[in-house]
Amino acid sequence: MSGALSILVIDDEDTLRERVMRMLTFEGFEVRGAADGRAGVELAWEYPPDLVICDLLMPGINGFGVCRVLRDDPRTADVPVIVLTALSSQSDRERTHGLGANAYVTKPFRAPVLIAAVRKCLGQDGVAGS
Amino acid sequence: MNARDTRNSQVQALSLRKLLLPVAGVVVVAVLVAAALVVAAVRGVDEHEAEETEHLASAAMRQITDDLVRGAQDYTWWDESVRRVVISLDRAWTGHLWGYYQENFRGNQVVMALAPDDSVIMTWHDGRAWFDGPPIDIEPGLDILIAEARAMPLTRPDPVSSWMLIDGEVYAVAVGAITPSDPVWASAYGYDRGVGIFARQLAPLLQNSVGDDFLLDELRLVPAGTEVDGEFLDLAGPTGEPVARLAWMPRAQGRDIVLSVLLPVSAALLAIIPLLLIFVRQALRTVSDEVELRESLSREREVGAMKSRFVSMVSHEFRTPLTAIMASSELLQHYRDRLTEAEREEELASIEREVDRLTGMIDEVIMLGQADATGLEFRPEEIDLAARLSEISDRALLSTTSKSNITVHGAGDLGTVIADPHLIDLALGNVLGNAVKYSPGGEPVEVAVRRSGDVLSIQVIDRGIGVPEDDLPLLGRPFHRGANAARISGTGLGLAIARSAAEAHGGGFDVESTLGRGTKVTLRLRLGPKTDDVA
Repeated sequence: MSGALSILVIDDEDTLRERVMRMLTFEGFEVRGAADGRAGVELAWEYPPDLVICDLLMPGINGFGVCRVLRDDPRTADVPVIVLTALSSQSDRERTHGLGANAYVTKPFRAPVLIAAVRKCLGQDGVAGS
Repeated sequence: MNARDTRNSQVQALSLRKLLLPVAGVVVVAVLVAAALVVAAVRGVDEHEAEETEHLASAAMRQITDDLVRGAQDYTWWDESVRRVVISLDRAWTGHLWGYYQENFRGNQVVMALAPDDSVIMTWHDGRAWFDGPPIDIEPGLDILIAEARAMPLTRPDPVSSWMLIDGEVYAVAVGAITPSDPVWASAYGYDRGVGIFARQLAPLLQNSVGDDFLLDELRLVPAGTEVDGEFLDLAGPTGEPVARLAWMPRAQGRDIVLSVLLPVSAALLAIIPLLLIFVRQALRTVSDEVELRESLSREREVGAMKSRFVSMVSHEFRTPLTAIMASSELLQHYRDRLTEAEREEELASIEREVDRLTGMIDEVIMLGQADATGLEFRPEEIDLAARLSEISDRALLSTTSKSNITVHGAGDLGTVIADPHLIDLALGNVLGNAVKYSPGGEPVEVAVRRSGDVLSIQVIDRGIGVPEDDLPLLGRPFHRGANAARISGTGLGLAIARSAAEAHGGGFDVESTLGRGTKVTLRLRLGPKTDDVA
């Protein structure tokens, strides 16, 4: 639907990325996906999304690099980023926070938790999820 | 009585030796020190160099990590398009500065890219690349190298280098200018130039060169492809082609010094040869104790390294299927009404697949534990090898999404053989599974079977991604995975299990591989006697 908020999902695990994209589509968002950090950054610059969901451990440019590059570029400097990762240590959490990530969700994740984080980052706290 | 006398005289000899030892030690050391001083004065041996040599020597003695050595896929460490690490190479490595990193880098080589403000853009360590590496304190030694590298003209950014102690280990460190000519990164960072630091641990050389030879020569830069004795490292130019070879070798000079010490004072030494012999014997005993200690430390470290590989494998490889299962179940739970019947079926099937994958990984860990604890059991029976091979091939193909074909040559002539079907499944299944899995482009896999006497040789040849040269000796070690395998899921246990299975079958395996070209694994299994003969 036109006018829907757009979300970019960057994750190298195809099956997971597709499922996250499907959940977000069901929630009414317009969704794009990228299978690695580089493609994700390029897509974000071409079509600046309203929100980015990004994995951390990816070959090539990883999630830390993506966070930093998005923040450094005026086109994407203000786009909120949710880190969705298997890394669960406090230091990784702090590091992404330091790089400007807005929320941190660890894998495996529950759909309502991710959707709540998405709505919060988009300033839609009041909107109920499914 | 005789025995007791002998023992008494042995005891006396021992006490005498105990008394003599310190005296002998002092005399010999005094003579050697005096001689060394004379020779040093004569030959003008630089005091600084001697001190440095001592540093190297003592660090060398601490080297116990030969098993962990990787190496020379250097300067291809970045994302393809950012591989503009120009290291041009007609300048000999110079300088013998010492510096320390504060970071506890336990791996073998550390590559860092620094921005002009010395912030870390990226570190490459232990097979993984990280952007925005941990902060490092740059100590004076490294600082000087960086300043030197930065002062080079951009058109000819020669590397500058040094030996360094990094966390107590000796590394060769090279620093060169980096031009991130990739437009994405250039615009992202606004940098036209950074500095790349490359460090390589010198463990194998140092470890293999106990004695005089642990003294190191300077590194030499020679044209690409030049034959060199000893360790070397290939360096790539802007387009990735090899441009030079970096070689380092044991220094004969150390031995020269010892010889030139011995010759002038040989007369003095002749007088104290008996004492010297006792001293040498004691020294040898100490050395052998030390070797034993080092071996046990090395084993301990290997166990530690295995543990950390295990934790890293579990945290990534186990979480991946768990995450997929959870995602499917969440889709079914929260969006059931939005899914078509076919999509629901697909989610359920996906859950089953991921559970199988997880179970398979757990089985592998258990199996390896069992192989380690009690060894795998050998239960030979009569089997139709061709049928077995075809079954194993089918299973290997089913286990991945790769589109490879497997062609088997030579199995038709074998008929039935006496072997353990379970061990053959484990050995060949893992090897074939790898061949298919690491041929992501669907490249064909060939299997050649040959029997020679009671040894069955099975060659599995693929044209897949290959194994980096430095990972080859480490293959078959539990949880070890090639540096280029990060993108393909796996526990790092397949070859370890294949090896245990082949060994339980009285055989083993060899691996030959060329990075980017493919891998050939030769499995050898000893066939059992005919069951009739056993009975």
